[in-house]
Amino acid sequence: MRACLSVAAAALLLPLPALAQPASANGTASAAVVAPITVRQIADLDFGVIAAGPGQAGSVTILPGLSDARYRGGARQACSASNECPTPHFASFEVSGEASRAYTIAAPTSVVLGGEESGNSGLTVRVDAIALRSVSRPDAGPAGRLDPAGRDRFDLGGTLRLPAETAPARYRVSIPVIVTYS
Amino acid sequence: MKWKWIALAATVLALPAPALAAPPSVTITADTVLRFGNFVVITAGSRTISASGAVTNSGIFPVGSAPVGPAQFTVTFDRGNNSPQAMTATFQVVLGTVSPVSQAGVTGALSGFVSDLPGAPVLVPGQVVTYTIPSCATRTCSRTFRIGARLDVTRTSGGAALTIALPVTATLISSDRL
Repeated sequence: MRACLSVAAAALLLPLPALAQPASANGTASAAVVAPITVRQIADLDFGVIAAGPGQAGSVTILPGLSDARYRGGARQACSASNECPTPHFASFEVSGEASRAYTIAAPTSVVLGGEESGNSGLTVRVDAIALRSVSRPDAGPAGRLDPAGRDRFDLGGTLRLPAETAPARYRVSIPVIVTYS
Repeated sequence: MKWKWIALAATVLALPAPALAAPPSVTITADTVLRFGNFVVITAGSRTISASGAVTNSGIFPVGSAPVGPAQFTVTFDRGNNSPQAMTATFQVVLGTVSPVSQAGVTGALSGFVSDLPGAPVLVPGQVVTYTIPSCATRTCSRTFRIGARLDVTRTSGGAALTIALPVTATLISSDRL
Protein backbone atom coordinates (compact mmCIF):
# COMPACT_ATOMS: atom_id res chain seq x y z
CA MET A 1 0.00 0.00 0.00
CA ARG A 2 2.83 2.36 0.85
CA ALA A 3 4.45 1.68 -2.51
CA CYS A 4 1.25 2.53 -4.31
CA LEU A 5 0.88 5.80 -2.43
CA SER A 6 4.44 6.83 -3.25
CA VAL A 7 3.84 6.32 -6.94
CA ALA A 8 0.71 8.43 -6.79
CA ALA A 9 2.52 11.25 -5.00
CA ALA A 10 5.40 11.19 -7.47
CA ALA A 11 3.05 11.40 -10.41
CA LEU A 12 1.35 14.48 -9.04
CA LEU A 13 4.66 16.30 -8.57
CA LEU A 14 6.05 15.79 -12.08
CA PRO A 15 5.96 18.95 -14.28
CA LEU A 16 3.87 18.85 -17.39
CA PRO A 17 5.99 18.35 -20.48
CA ALA A 18 5.89 21.12 -23.04
CA LEU A 19 4.14 19.76 -26.10
CA ALA A 20 6.04 20.30 -29.35
CA GLN A 21 3.00 20.29 -31.58
CA PRO A 22 3.86 22.00 -34.86
CA ALA A 23 1.52 24.65 -36.19
CA SER A 24 1.13 25.39 -39.86
CA ALA A 25 -0.14 28.28 -41.93
CA ASN A 26 -0.83 28.19 -45.62
CA GLY A 27 0.36 31.48 -46.96
CA THR A 28 -0.15 32.47 -50.56
CA ALA A 29 1.68 34.36 -53.22
CA SER A 30 -0.39 35.96 -55.96
CA ALA A 31 0.19 37.74 -59.25
CA ALA A 32 -1.97 38.72 -62.17
CA VAL A 33 -0.09 38.30 -65.42
CA VAL A 34 -1.85 40.41 -67.98
CA ALA A 35 -1.75 39.60 -71.66
CA PRO A 36 0.06 42.31 -73.62
CA ILE A 37 -2.09 44.89 -75.31
CA THR A 38 -1.62 45.34 -79.04
CA VAL A 39 -2.90 47.81 -81.59
CA ARG A 40 -3.22 47.27 -85.33
CA GLN A 41 -4.12 49.80 -87.97
CA ILE A 42 -7.06 48.77 -90.11
CA ALA A 43 -7.76 52.03 -91.99
CA ASP A 44 -5.93 55.29 -92.75
CA LEU A 45 -7.16 58.76 -92.00
CA ASP A 46 -7.82 59.97 -95.53
CA PHE A 47 -9.06 63.47 -96.39
CA GLY A 48 -9.58 62.49 -100.01
CA VAL A 49 -8.90 64.82 -102.91
CA ILE A 50 -9.52 68.47 -102.11
CA ALA A 51 -9.87 71.45 -104.33
CA ALA A 52 -8.79 74.68 -102.71
CA GLY A 53 -10.26 77.93 -103.88
CA PRO A 54 -7.78 80.54 -105.13
CA GLY A 55 -6.63 82.94 -102.44
CA GLN A 56 -8.84 81.43 -99.81
CA ALA A 57 -7.92 79.28 -96.86
CA GLY A 58 -10.06 76.32 -95.90
CA SER A 59 -10.31 73.23 -93.82
CA VAL A 60 -11.62 69.69 -93.92
CA THR A 61 -12.78 67.99 -90.75
CA ILE A 62 -13.30 64.29 -90.32
CA LEU A 63 -14.67 63.27 -86.97
CA PRO A 64 -13.89 59.80 -85.62
CA GLY A 65 -16.80 57.48 -86.19
CA LEU A 66 -18.62 59.79 -88.62
CA SER A 67 -18.43 59.12 -92.32
CA ASP A 68 -19.10 62.62 -93.60
CA ALA A 69 -16.28 65.11 -94.13
CA ARG A 70 -17.04 68.75 -93.34
CA TYR A 71 -15.58 71.35 -95.71
CA ARG A 72 -15.05 74.94 -94.70
CA GLY A 73 -13.77 78.08 -96.40
CA GLY A 74 -12.18 77.52 -99.77
CA ALA A 75 -11.91 73.74 -99.38
CA ARG A 76 -14.26 71.43 -101.19
CA GLN A 77 -14.30 67.88 -102.40
CA ALA A 78 -12.68 67.67 -105.81
CA CYS A 79 -14.75 64.77 -107.09
CA SER A 80 -18.47 64.40 -107.10
CA ALA A 81 -18.54 60.65 -107.52
CA SER A 82 -16.82 58.42 -105.03
CA ASN A 83 -15.47 56.15 -107.74
CA GLU A 84 -13.40 59.02 -109.09
CA CYS A 85 -11.65 59.88 -105.82
CA PRO A 86 -10.93 58.11 -102.57
CA THR A 87 -13.75 58.54 -100.10
CA PRO A 88 -12.67 60.60 -97.11
CA HIS A 89 -12.71 58.55 -93.90
CA PHE A 90 -11.34 58.43 -90.41
CA ALA A 91 -8.55 56.11 -89.31
CA SER A 92 -9.41 52.93 -87.44
CA PHE A 93 -7.35 50.76 -85.15
CA GLU A 94 -8.06 47.39 -83.63
CA VAL A 95 -6.97 46.82 -80.03
CA SER A 96 -6.58 43.40 -78.47
CA GLY A 97 -5.45 42.25 -75.05
CA GLU A 98 -6.80 41.11 -71.70
CA ALA A 99 -10.57 40.72 -71.62
CA SER A 100 -12.53 43.52 -69.96
CA ARG A 101 -9.50 45.64 -69.18
CA ALA A 102 -9.59 49.38 -69.67
CA TYR A 103 -6.97 51.09 -71.78
CA THR A 104 -5.94 54.57 -72.78
CA ILE A 105 -4.79 55.89 -76.13
CA ALA A 106 -2.05 58.40 -76.69
CA ALA A 107 -1.78 60.29 -79.97
CA PRO A 108 -0.49 63.71 -80.96
CA THR A 109 -3.03 66.51 -81.04
CA SER A 110 -1.59 67.86 -84.26
CA VAL A 111 0.80 66.77 -87.00
CA VAL A 112 2.43 68.41 -90.00
CA LEU A 113 2.08 66.73 -93.36
CA GLY A 114 4.77 66.99 -95.96
CA GLY A 115 3.96 67.42 -99.62
CA GLU A 116 5.02 64.82 -102.19
CA GLU A 117 5.05 64.65 -105.97
CA SER A 118 5.12 68.40 -106.27
CA GLY A 119 8.67 68.88 -107.35
CA ASN A 120 8.97 71.45 -104.63
CA SER A 121 10.43 70.90 -101.21
CA GLY A 122 9.22 72.31 -97.94
CA LEU A 123 5.52 72.12 -98.69
CA THR A 124 3.50 71.42 -95.61
CA VAL A 125 -0.04 71.46 -94.34
CA ARG A 126 -1.27 70.81 -90.86
CA VAL A 127 -3.78 68.49 -89.26
CA ASP A 128 -4.90 69.52 -85.81
CA ALA A 129 -7.78 68.83 -83.46
CA ILE A 130 -6.92 65.16 -83.71
CA ALA A 131 -9.69 63.31 -81.88
CA LEU A 132 -10.11 59.75 -80.70
CA ARG A 133 -13.24 57.71 -80.12
CA SER A 134 -13.40 54.11 -79.03
CA VAL A 135 -16.30 51.84 -79.87
CA SER A 136 -16.56 50.62 -76.28
CA ARG A 137 -16.54 54.05 -74.65
CA PRO A 138 -17.42 56.59 -77.34
CA ASP A 139 -17.77 59.45 -74.89
CA ALA A 140 -14.59 58.78 -72.92
CA GLY A 141 -12.15 60.43 -75.30
CA PRO A 142 -8.83 58.63 -75.61
CA ALA A 143 -9.94 55.58 -73.62
CA GLY A 144 -11.70 52.30 -74.09
CA ARG A 145 -12.41 48.95 -72.55
CA LEU A 146 -11.73 45.59 -74.14
CA ASP A 147 -14.74 43.36 -74.57
CA PRO A 148 -15.04 39.87 -73.02
CA ALA A 149 -13.14 38.53 -76.02
CA GLY A 150 -10.34 41.04 -75.38
CA ARG A 151 -11.04 43.24 -78.40
CA ASP A 152 -12.05 46.80 -79.17
CA ARG A 153 -11.67 49.38 -81.90
CA PHE A 154 -11.04 53.09 -81.90
CA ASP A 155 -11.23 55.70 -84.60
CA LEU A 156 -9.11 58.77 -85.16
CA GLY A 157 -10.08 61.96 -86.95
CA GLY A 158 -8.87 65.52 -87.27
CA THR A 159 -9.03 68.78 -89.13
CA LEU A 160 -6.85 69.47 -92.16
CA ARG A 161 -5.92 73.14 -92.44
CA LEU A 162 -5.34 74.43 -95.95
CA PRO A 163 -3.74 77.87 -96.13
CA ALA A 164 -4.53 80.07 -99.08
CA GLU A 165 -2.45 79.16 -102.09
CA THR A 166 -1.71 75.68 -100.84
CA ALA A 167 0.47 74.02 -103.46
CA PRO A 168 -1.03 71.03 -105.24
CA ALA A 169 0.61 67.90 -103.86
CA ARG A 170 -0.04 64.65 -102.13
CA TYR A 171 0.43 65.33 -98.44
CA ARG A 172 0.98 62.57 -95.96
CA VAL A 173 2.42 61.78 -92.57
CA SER A 174 2.48 58.88 -90.11
CA ILE A 175 0.57 59.43 -86.90
CA PRO A 176 1.87 57.39 -83.98
CA VAL A 177 -0.67 55.96 -81.56
CA ILE A 178 0.16 54.19 -78.32
CA VAL A 179 -2.26 52.12 -76.25
CA THR A 180 -1.63 51.17 -72.65
CA TYR A 181 -3.66 49.52 -69.98
CA SER A 182 -5.22 51.98 -67.57
CA MET B 1 1.64 4.64 11.83
CA LYS B 2 0.23 2.58 9.05
CA TRP B 3 -3.19 4.07 9.53
CA LYS B 4 -1.72 7.55 9.49
CA TRP B 5 -0.26 7.07 6.02
CA ILE B 6 -3.44 5.66 4.73
CA ALA B 7 -5.42 8.58 6.11
CA LEU B 8 -3.09 11.07 4.46
CA ALA B 9 -3.32 9.29 1.16
CA ALA B 10 -7.06 9.22 1.35
CA THR B 11 -7.08 12.96 1.98
CA VAL B 12 -4.92 13.67 -1.05
CA LEU B 13 -7.00 11.53 -3.32
CA ALA B 14 -10.26 12.99 -2.07
CA LEU B 15 -9.32 16.58 -2.78
CA PRO B 16 -10.91 17.99 -5.90
CA ALA B 17 -8.45 18.03 -8.75
CA PRO B 18 -7.15 21.56 -9.41
CA ALA B 19 -7.72 22.99 -12.86
CA LEU B 20 -4.66 21.93 -14.79
CA ALA B 21 -2.90 24.59 -16.90
CA ALA B 22 -2.85 23.88 -20.61
CA PRO B 23 0.52 22.97 -22.04
CA PRO B 24 2.42 25.74 -23.80
CA SER B 25 1.60 25.88 -27.47
CA VAL B 26 2.30 27.86 -30.60
CA THR B 27 0.09 28.88 -33.48
CA ILE B 28 0.94 30.60 -36.74
CA THR B 29 -1.36 32.58 -38.99
CA ALA B 30 -0.91 33.85 -42.52
CA ASP B 31 -1.92 37.51 -42.26
CA THR B 32 -1.05 38.89 -45.67
CA VAL B 33 -0.58 37.41 -49.10
CA LEU B 34 2.74 37.87 -50.87
CA ARG B 35 1.42 40.26 -53.50
CA PHE B 36 3.20 40.69 -56.82
CA GLY B 37 0.47 42.87 -58.31
CA ASN B 38 -0.59 43.12 -61.94
CA PHE B 39 1.87 43.27 -64.80
CA VAL B 40 2.40 42.47 -68.43
CA VAL B 41 5.06 40.00 -69.54
CA ILE B 42 5.85 39.60 -73.19
CA THR B 43 7.70 36.28 -72.97
CA ALA B 44 9.63 36.21 -69.69
CA GLY B 45 10.31 38.47 -66.76
CA SER B 46 10.55 38.65 -63.02
CA ARG B 47 9.44 40.75 -60.11
CA THR B 48 11.15 40.69 -56.73
CA ILE B 49 9.49 41.78 -53.49
CA SER B 50 11.83 42.24 -50.55
CA ALA B 51 10.84 41.58 -46.96
CA SER B 52 10.47 45.33 -46.50
CA GLY B 53 8.32 45.68 -49.61
CA ALA B 54 10.88 47.03 -52.05
CA VAL B 55 10.06 46.09 -55.65
CA THR B 56 12.49 45.23 -58.45
CA ASN B 57 11.25 44.53 -61.97
CA SER B 58 12.97 42.84 -64.87
CA GLY B 59 11.24 42.39 -68.20
CA ILE B 60 7.79 43.22 -66.92
CA PHE B 61 5.47 46.18 -67.31
CA PRO B 62 3.41 47.06 -64.25
CA VAL B 63 -0.31 47.63 -64.85
CA GLY B 64 -2.60 49.62 -62.60
CA SER B 65 -2.08 50.24 -58.93
CA ALA B 66 -2.79 46.89 -57.33
CA PRO B 67 -1.10 46.57 -53.93
CA VAL B 68 2.31 44.92 -53.84
CA GLY B 69 4.10 43.65 -50.75
CA PRO B 70 5.60 40.81 -48.77
CA ALA B 71 3.71 38.01 -47.06
CA GLN B 72 3.18 38.45 -43.35
CA PHE B 73 2.87 35.73 -40.74
CA THR B 74 2.24 35.95 -37.01
CA VAL B 75 3.51 33.39 -34.53
CA THR B 76 1.62 33.34 -31.23
CA PHE B 77 2.99 31.64 -28.12
CA ASP B 78 0.38 30.58 -25.57
CA ARG B 79 2.08 29.76 -22.30
CA GLY B 80 -0.98 27.88 -21.13
CA ASN B 81 -1.52 29.82 -17.88
CA ASN B 82 -1.86 33.32 -16.59
CA SER B 83 1.25 33.35 -14.44
CA PRO B 84 2.95 36.74 -14.41
CA GLN B 85 6.37 35.12 -14.48
CA ALA B 86 8.18 35.99 -17.69
CA MET B 87 9.08 33.19 -20.07
CA THR B 88 11.20 32.83 -23.13
CA ALA B 89 9.70 30.78 -25.93
CA THR B 90 11.89 29.33 -28.63
CA PHE B 91 10.45 27.78 -31.73
CA GLN B 92 11.48 26.75 -35.19
CA VAL B 93 10.08 28.20 -38.37
CA VAL B 94 10.28 26.25 -41.61
CA LEU B 95 9.22 27.37 -45.06
CA GLY B 96 7.86 24.33 -46.85
CA THR B 97 8.31 23.29 -50.44
CA VAL B 98 7.06 25.91 -52.87
CA SER B 99 6.09 24.50 -56.24
CA PRO B 100 5.79 26.42 -59.51
CA VAL B 101 2.37 26.82 -61.07
CA SER B 102 1.20 26.87 -64.65
CA GLN B 103 -2.06 28.27 -65.88
CA ALA B 104 -3.11 28.74 -69.46
CA GLY B 105 0.04 29.88 -71.20
CA VAL B 106 1.68 31.31 -68.10
CA THR B 107 4.12 29.71 -65.66
CA GLY B 108 5.23 31.26 -62.38
CA ALA B 109 7.96 30.08 -60.01
CA LEU B 110 9.09 31.52 -56.70
CA SER B 111 12.71 31.60 -55.59
CA GLY B 112 15.11 33.79 -53.64
CA PHE B 113 13.04 33.87 -50.47
CA VAL B 114 13.96 36.54 -47.96
CA SER B 115 12.62 37.38 -44.54
CA ASP B 116 12.97 39.80 -41.69
CA LEU B 117 13.32 36.96 -39.22
CA PRO B 118 16.33 37.76 -37.02
CA GLY B 119 19.35 35.94 -38.40
CA ALA B 120 17.55 34.64 -41.47
CA PRO B 121 17.59 37.30 -44.19
CA VAL B 122 17.65 34.49 -46.75
CA LEU B 123 15.21 31.61 -46.49
CA VAL B 124 15.60 28.27 -48.19
CA PRO B 125 12.60 25.94 -48.27
CA GLY B 126 13.17 23.22 -45.69
CA GLN B 127 15.68 25.29 -43.77
CA VAL B 128 15.02 25.47 -40.01
CA VAL B 129 15.10 28.95 -38.54
CA THR B 130 15.14 29.26 -34.77
CA TYR B 131 13.13 32.16 -33.47
CA THR B 132 12.76 33.38 -29.88
CA ILE B 133 10.11 35.39 -28.12
CA PRO B 134 11.87 36.75 -25.07
CA SER B 135 10.30 37.91 -21.82
CA CYS B 136 6.75 36.83 -22.44
CA ALA B 137 4.90 37.89 -19.30
CA THR B 138 1.34 37.50 -20.53
CA ARG B 139 -0.77 34.51 -21.41
CA THR B 140 -0.02 34.93 -25.11
CA CYS B 141 2.79 36.71 -26.92
CA SER B 142 2.99 37.27 -30.66
CA ARG B 143 5.66 38.15 -33.15
CA THR B 144 5.18 39.05 -36.77
CA PHE B 145 7.56 38.43 -39.63
CA ARG B 146 7.51 38.99 -43.36
CA ILE B 147 8.63 36.93 -46.33
CA GLY B 148 9.52 38.23 -49.78
CA ALA B 149 10.56 36.37 -52.91
CA ARG B 150 11.33 36.59 -56.58
CA LEU B 151 8.63 35.53 -59.04
CA ASP B 152 9.82 34.41 -62.45
CA VAL B 153 7.14 34.35 -65.10
CA THR B 154 7.24 32.88 -68.57
CA ARG B 155 4.39 33.41 -70.98
CA THR B 156 3.54 31.75 -74.24
CA SER B 157 0.01 33.13 -74.63
CA GLY B 158 -2.72 35.07 -72.88
CA GLY B 159 -2.66 36.05 -69.25
CA ALA B 160 -3.39 34.34 -65.94
CA ALA B 161 -4.02 34.91 -62.27
CA LEU B 162 -1.29 32.98 -60.50
CA THR B 163 -1.66 31.67 -56.96
CA ILE B 164 1.24 29.87 -55.35
CA ALA B 165 1.05 28.17 -51.94
CA LEU B 166 3.53 29.38 -49.35
CA PRO B 167 3.38 26.87 -46.46
CA VAL B 168 5.06 27.84 -43.20
CA THR B 169 5.33 25.68 -40.08
CA ALA B 170 6.22 26.77 -36.55
CA THR B 171 7.17 24.30 -33.82
CA LEU B 172 7.67 25.19 -30.15
CA ILE B 173 10.91 23.65 -28.97
CA SER B 174 11.25 25.21 -25.50
CA SER B 175 9.57 27.55 -23.09
CA ASP B 176 11.72 28.54 -20.14
CA ARG B 177 10.98 30.66 -17.11
CA LEU B 178 13.30 33.59 -16.68
